[in-house]
Amino acid sequence: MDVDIAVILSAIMDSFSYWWIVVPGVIVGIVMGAIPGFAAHNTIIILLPLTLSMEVEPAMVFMMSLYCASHFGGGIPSILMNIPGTGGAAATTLDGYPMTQQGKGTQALVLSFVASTLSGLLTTMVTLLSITFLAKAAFQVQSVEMVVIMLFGIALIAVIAAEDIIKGLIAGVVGLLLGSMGADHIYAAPRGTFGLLQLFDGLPLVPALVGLFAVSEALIMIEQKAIQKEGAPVNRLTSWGEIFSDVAFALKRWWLIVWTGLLGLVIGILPGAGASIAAFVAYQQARMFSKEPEKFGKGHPEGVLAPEAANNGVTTGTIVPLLAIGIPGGSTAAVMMVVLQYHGVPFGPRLFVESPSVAYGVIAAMLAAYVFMAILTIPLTRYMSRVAVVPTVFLAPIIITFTLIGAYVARGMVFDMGLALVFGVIGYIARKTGYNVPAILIGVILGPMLERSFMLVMRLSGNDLGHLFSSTLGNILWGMLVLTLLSPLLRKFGLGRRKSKP
Amino acid sequence: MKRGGIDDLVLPGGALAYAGYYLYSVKEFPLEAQFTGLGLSGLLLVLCLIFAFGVVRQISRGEFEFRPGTKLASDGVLNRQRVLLFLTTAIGILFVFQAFGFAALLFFQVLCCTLILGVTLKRAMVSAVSCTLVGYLFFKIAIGVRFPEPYILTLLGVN
Repeated sequence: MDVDIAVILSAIMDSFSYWWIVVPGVIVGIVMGAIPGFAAHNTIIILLPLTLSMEVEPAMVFMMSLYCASHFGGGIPSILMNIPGTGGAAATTLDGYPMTQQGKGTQALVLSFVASTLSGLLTTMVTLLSITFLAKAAFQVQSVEMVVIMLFGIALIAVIAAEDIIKGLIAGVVGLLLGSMGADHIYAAPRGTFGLLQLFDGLPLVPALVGLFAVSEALIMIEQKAIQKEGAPVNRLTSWGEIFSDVAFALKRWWLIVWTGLLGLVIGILPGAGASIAAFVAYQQARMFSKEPEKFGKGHPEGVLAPEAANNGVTTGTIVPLLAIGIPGGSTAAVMMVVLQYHGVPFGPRLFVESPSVAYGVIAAMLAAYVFMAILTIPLTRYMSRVAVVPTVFLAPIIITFTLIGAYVARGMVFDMGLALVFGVIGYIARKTGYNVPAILIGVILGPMLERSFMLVMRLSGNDLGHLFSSTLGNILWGMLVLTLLSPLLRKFGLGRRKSKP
Repeated sequence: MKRGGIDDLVLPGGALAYAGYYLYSVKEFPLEAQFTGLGLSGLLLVLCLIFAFGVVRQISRGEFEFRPGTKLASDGVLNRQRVLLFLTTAIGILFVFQAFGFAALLFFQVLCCTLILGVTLKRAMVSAVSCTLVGYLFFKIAIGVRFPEPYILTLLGVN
């Protein structure tokens, strides 16, 4: 599986020649991604029949455009309404929404789009040139490491996003417990489902996301007249000069975008880890190395750049295991697998030997998608941010109604709308009493994956818990997990010592 | 200043109750199948005990608010609006959506919710009609989502 530069260049040229497919794919993807509940894989499933009549290359280009754009679009409602369009955009709410409340919605959107585009372009180029090496990295991570990575993800969110670490951890464990609902992985017997058949396959993610973020946000939103706080600068239409200066501001922080994007790419390659962990890891890293860490969580531009760059790095990363070793890295990659299968395209190393133009074409299509996304979206930021001044008496009912329809669409069950409403109440209680809502959601997402990996470890080791500490990489991750949990105490201790010095 | 309150105990209390139910639902399973429940419930219990320790400290310092609803339901008007929004949405899902269909749900939901939030009837109607149109065009026409057949309209032979 050698890298053929000529094939790569030709794949890039070809993907740009399909601009007439990329542009509608990007527009539909951004709109769908911006609606909470329309995850990338749902969008692709809904539009799958469209591609079945196409040739394999344009079909894949269309799918990749949809895929990238729907991840990209997930950041828009996170910034403007505190409602992440996808799980990966949950970290963007931490600083994106406070910026909107301060009347800096346009700036936050521009930063998000520049970070997403740059990171997407960079990680796509890196993937094109090093896919064989990256695929080997995915092999190094076994079930033991996966268990620690997921626990690490939860701990990280609890520590960085919650005001009270214990409340953050409780929220994460509540999420994990809810995520473990449904049929047992070995005996297929239902657990904690209240006898409801609709929960037999586990807790559906879309109603949980819609309820925890959209419904609860709508219930809280009505406390103020508009999203933008009173006293914030008057929200006039932003001038082109200001938009270009925001673009320049983001470009000046290119280093932050580059390394958080690459971090996202590496985490994205690990099957199952996904954007939700990557975005929070990137946020924590950005805060740790920032000159102004105290400004994070209060509307700091770097708090938008880092998670958005990581989120889009993951977008490229999840495709790597599918193409290189034939294992889908996430639900969207699994859907892409179906499309490839339908068109009779082989997976793994054979794909690069038998259909190199398709293999590299899939990645090159992402490159084209990111270029067109930048051209199409940055001018629109001027108008998108106006949503922050729409009176909440109109916005809240629209959010509740449309997102509940989104909850229905994923599985076609009326039950899911009711479930979203129940999660709305849980989200409302959590927000009002200071329990971190993203931690609950990430727990729900990681719960089934954590359980699967944990059960695999137990089976392989004959129920020996000590096996969790048997690998070097795993032990390093355990160490990082302990350090993360102790970091608030260490920080407090350090501050105390500094204060006690005369 | 009161830092904590009885409202802070709602989520951990509910979570512990669910953990208890979860363990009850797996009690007949082999030990291997109980690992997840036991592990997560144990972890939750430990965290709740640490949290309870913090609550006891707050009580001893007089920083704990015993009156329920101080955080969750402090404003009377807003509470009434929230309860009505919740009930309207529940009615919308359970009755309007299944009896009259998707478009009726959009119209009913937006109209009732905007009225509850104090918008005038005329503006609420305009908002409901435009949302119904946009929703219909997007969900039904553009992406072709299949919604359940509304049973009352089917009974009346309208559908």
